[in-house]
Formats: sequence, structure tokens, C-alpha cells
Amino acid sequence: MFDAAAFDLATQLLFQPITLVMLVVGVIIGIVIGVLPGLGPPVALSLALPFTFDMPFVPSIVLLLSIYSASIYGGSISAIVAKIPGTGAAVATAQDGNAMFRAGRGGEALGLSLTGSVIGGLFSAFMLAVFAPLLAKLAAQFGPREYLAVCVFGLAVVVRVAGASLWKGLAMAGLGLWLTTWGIDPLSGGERYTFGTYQFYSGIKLIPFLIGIFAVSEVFIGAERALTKIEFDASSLKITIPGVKRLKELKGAIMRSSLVGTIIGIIPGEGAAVAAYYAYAEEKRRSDTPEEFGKGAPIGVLAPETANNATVGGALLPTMTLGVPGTPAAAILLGAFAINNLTPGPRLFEERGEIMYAIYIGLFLINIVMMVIGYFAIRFAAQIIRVPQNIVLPLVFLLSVAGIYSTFSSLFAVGIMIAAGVFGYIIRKLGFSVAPLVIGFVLGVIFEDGFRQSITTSQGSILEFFNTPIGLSIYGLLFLTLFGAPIWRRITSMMRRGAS
Amino acid sequence: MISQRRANLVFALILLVLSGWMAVIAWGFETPALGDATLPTKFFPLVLLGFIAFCTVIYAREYIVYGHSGGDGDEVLYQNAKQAKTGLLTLAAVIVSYGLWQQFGFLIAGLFATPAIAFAMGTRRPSHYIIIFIGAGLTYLVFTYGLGTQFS
Repeated sequence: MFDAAAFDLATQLLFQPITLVMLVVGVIIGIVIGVLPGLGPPVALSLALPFTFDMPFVPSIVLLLSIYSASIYGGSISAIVAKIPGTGAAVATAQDGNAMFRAGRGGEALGLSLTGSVIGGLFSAFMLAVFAPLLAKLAAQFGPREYLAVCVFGLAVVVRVAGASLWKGLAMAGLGLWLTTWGIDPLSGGERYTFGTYQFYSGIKLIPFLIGIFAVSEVFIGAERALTKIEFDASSLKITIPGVKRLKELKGAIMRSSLVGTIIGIIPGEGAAVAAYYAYAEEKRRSDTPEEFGKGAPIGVLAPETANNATVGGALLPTMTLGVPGTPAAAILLGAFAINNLTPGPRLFEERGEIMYAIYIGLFLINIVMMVIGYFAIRFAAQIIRVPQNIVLPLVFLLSVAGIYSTFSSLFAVGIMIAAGVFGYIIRKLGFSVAPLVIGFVLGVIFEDGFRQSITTSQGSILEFFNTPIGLSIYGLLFLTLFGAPIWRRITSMMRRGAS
Repeated sequence: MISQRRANLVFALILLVLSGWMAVIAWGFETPALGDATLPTKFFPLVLLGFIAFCTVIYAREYIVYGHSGGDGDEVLYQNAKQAKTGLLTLAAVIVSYGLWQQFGFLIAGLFATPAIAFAMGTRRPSHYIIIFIGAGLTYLVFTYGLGTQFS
């Protein structure tokens, strides 16, 4: 239901000078970090999070959302100019984007990337504004069994899409869940894994853990990556925004990629990269000239860039309505809510409607500002690729430790962050995906509470877990997500065989 | 340099030993009298540790029987000795800097960590160290005077 008073308050909060400054600063920082190879949205958000500690919520969430959106876009600049994707989400863009750049069509590629990113972002913001209140209304009916079903769904899907080994993914999801059992048991008050120190009474804190896993482990991994000096023709750095006629020609690809990105963003997992690949593959499949893909096809740039930015709004949908993050980056956004003692969920929609409106409108503004800054700052942004990693990474580490100390005033929190970073480095070296670990860690408390409260209300019967229409629908959806495609393939092949 | 198979098997062994140790600790968790009516405090940690151990055994078996888990049979942990040295030296620099912070405070730790990481990465150009020191100084100033952080 539209709340005019909340909407009015949201616009007032958004148009305060501090919020507008944060919006512009966030877009600039996002583009800069996105351009730098290896430092994607989770690292960008991790580094920015401590700066939001003393800020009111609206400017801080606007800053983080600007960084989130702009860092996904920024990754495409280095992918197109130097064939070095700044983020995982830009890997699909690198092939065609760089081929166009080398063929003297760099301006066109950069223009398609920027326009696609902005349209994808606007589309997903619109979908978020339409569907978030509806989902929040549904979520208001959720009890422990439904939340448990949502957690099972989230974890199962993350494990399924993250990494090639199912069992390694499951082990990491289990580990993420287990780490949340440290500290005082919220239901019984019993001590668990406190190791005789009061510092562990509240468990392992989310923010140091996430910054360690994403930013500090990236310092170790990035240090090993020997990058040669990057050279490119700077004279080609003139962006050409596609006109209305060209956009009309491409409208089918834009709409499909926006929808793909939004939907994949909603499903917990490694959203932006998966969405970009999926949109690329879909457009290649539909194309009359699929052989041109990989050799400089404009849609090979437009489709993945539209889809990866469309994951932002999609990922925020379960994050805001259920507290279940759609992507690892959205998990860090939960940290911003936690810093301000806000719990995402249906109650937040009822009690703090202005925050939700500020997020919807903020996302629209962010994409518009990103269009302007992206257009004018392309030359400068591309030069950032030349900044050597051996200058960037030590400063990333220093920003991480200073940020955590600034937030928690505790050397213990810094220790947790470093320990998480070392652990993140080890598991990444061993070929584990960090997504199941992170999503498991974020969902752990909801999962345990849901499970224990469900078992208490059902008097020990596991079957009662499924005796709920919403919960059963979620389990059904999970079944379809995991097994729908193989079953459908089997059915169509049987039908084809039957016909022949 | 060290196959994924060998490294993952060692990691699986460590994970199993740690799971067992943590399960022993969890066994001693007590549920207060006013606690949860049906499930004891130790239930969830024990179930999860069992689950982790189960998954670890399965993926370790894949490495033993098939030589890979998820197709990483031909991969190695480090491409060459230089890469291993860089990664491990960076790791050491970070851990030592944490120790320095505990003993001597943030300033000394920061002054050590940033050039040490750069050195571990093979930085030889003095100009890069100068830029890093300027960046580190700016970070300190922003946090101290901008955000009011009082570093210990």
C-alpha cells in the first residue's frame, strides 16, 4: 500500500545535501574500485562499510548502494579497454568488448556497457519497488517454519551454483552455519564456544567476518597475481551513447537481459557473474549470427552488462523483505542495517516505510547519476587500470584494519577479521567457493531459530515442518530450481524420441 | 607446486580433526534450566559438525578414488615457487603486523604492514613505496581526524 507520508519523508531524506554527496561519492568510488582488477562489489562494500558507522541510515545505504551498482558497471571498463575484467560480473563482457575496442569501436562498446548497466539498474529498481511491498506482505505471515524453508532454499541454491564440487560447497555452508553457533545461545542462554572470553559472548561479528573473507583474502590472492604492465590506446576512450533508434533495435535484448538479471539476483548465489553469463548465452542462442559472438558483437557487451546491473534490485528483494541476501554483496548490505539496529523484514516496511522508499528512489537516482558520471569520467576511470596492484593491495589491507578498528574500537575484532581473511585465503586456494560459507554465516541464526522453534511447536515431528502452504510452496520451488531443468530435458527428449 | 588433491586431502584431515575436537567441546555445553524445552543447546552445533564431517569425508573420498572433486585434478595450489613465496610472505606480513599492533600500536603496525606487503609482492621501485606511505598517512589522517578514531 502506498504511504504518501513515508514517501514524502523519504524524498526529504534523499535530497539532503549529505545524501546527495554520498550518492556522487559512492558512484565515483564504485567505478574506481570496479575498474581495479580483482576488487569487486563485496570488497568495495567491505571497505566502505566502516565509514557509515556514524552516518544516519539513509545517506549510508545510499553510499553503499551507489558503490554496489557502480562497481558492477566499473568492472566492464577494464574488461573492454584491457580485456581484464575488473569484476567477475564483467568476464562475459571482456571478449566482445575488447574485440570492439581493438577494432576501433571502443566508444560504441563503452556506450553500450554504460547504457545497458543503467537500463538494467533502472529496470531492477522498478521491479524492486513493485514487488518488495508484495513480498513483504507475504513475509508478514511467515513463522519459524517458513523462515526455515527460506533458509533451506537459499543455502541449497547457493551450494548448487557455487563451485564445481557439491560436497565442498555443502561443507562450507555447514561451516558457515556452525560458526553462528558461537556465543550465548539466544534461545536458552547457554554458553557455546566462548573459550573463556567475554569477547565471544555475542558470537563472531558479521562485519569483521565478511571484510576478512572478502577484502583481506583478496589481498593475499591479489598479491600472488603477477600482473604485467597494462597498455591500451587511450585515444579510443570516447564514449558513444546509443541513440533512440539503436536502442529500439536492441530493446528485445535489453528487456530479456534485464529480466534475467533481476530474477537471478533474487535467487541466492553469485548473482552478477551468473546473470551476465546467462544473458550472454541466451542472446547468443537467439542470434541469427552466433558466430560473431566473441569477435566483437555489440549485443555481447550489452546483454551481460544489462543483466549484471539488474541483479542489484533483484538481490535487494529477498534481502529487504526476508533478511536473506541474494548475493554476497547484499550480505554486506545487511551489515549496514545491523549497524543502525535495523532488522530487514516485513516489520521494517510497516514501521520505517520511509527507508524502503528511500532505497527505491535512491536506486533510480544512483543509476541516473551513474549515467552522467560514467559518461564524463570514462577517460579518468580507464587510467585507473594502470595503477599497479602492489600499491592498491597494501592500502586495501590498511583500510580494512583501520575501518574495523574504527567501527568496533576493538583489536579483537581486527583479529577476527584477519583470521577470517587467512581462512578465506586458504579455502579459495583450495578451490572452495566463499559464497556458501558467507550465506551460511548470514542465515545461520535465522536457520537455527527457525529449526528449533519449528521443532518445539511441532512437538518433535519433522513432518510438521512441511505442513504449511507457504513453506511447502518454497520447498516445491526449491525442487523445481534444482531438478526442474533436468526433468524438463528428460521429458522433451522422451517426447522427441516418441515422435520419431 | 602441491597438487589440489594433496592439499585438499590434508585440509580434509584437519577439518575432520577440528570437527571432532569441537564436537567434544560441544558435548559439554549445558542447557540452563529455563532453556529451550525440546532441544538442548549442544544439539545444533553437534548436528552441524556431523554434517561438516560427513561432507568432508565424501569430498575426501572423491579425491582418493577419482583424484579430483569438481574437476580440479590437474590443478595445483601454486603455479610456481615465486607465487607461493609471494602469497605466504604477504600472509606473514599481515600476521606480524597484527602482533606489532598488539605490542606497539597501530602506527608501527601500519608503517610495517603496508611496505611489507608491497615488498612481499616484489615491489622494487622506490616511487611505489613513497606512494604507499603517502596513502597510509592519508588513511591515518582520515580515520584519526575525519572519523575521530582513537587508535591504540
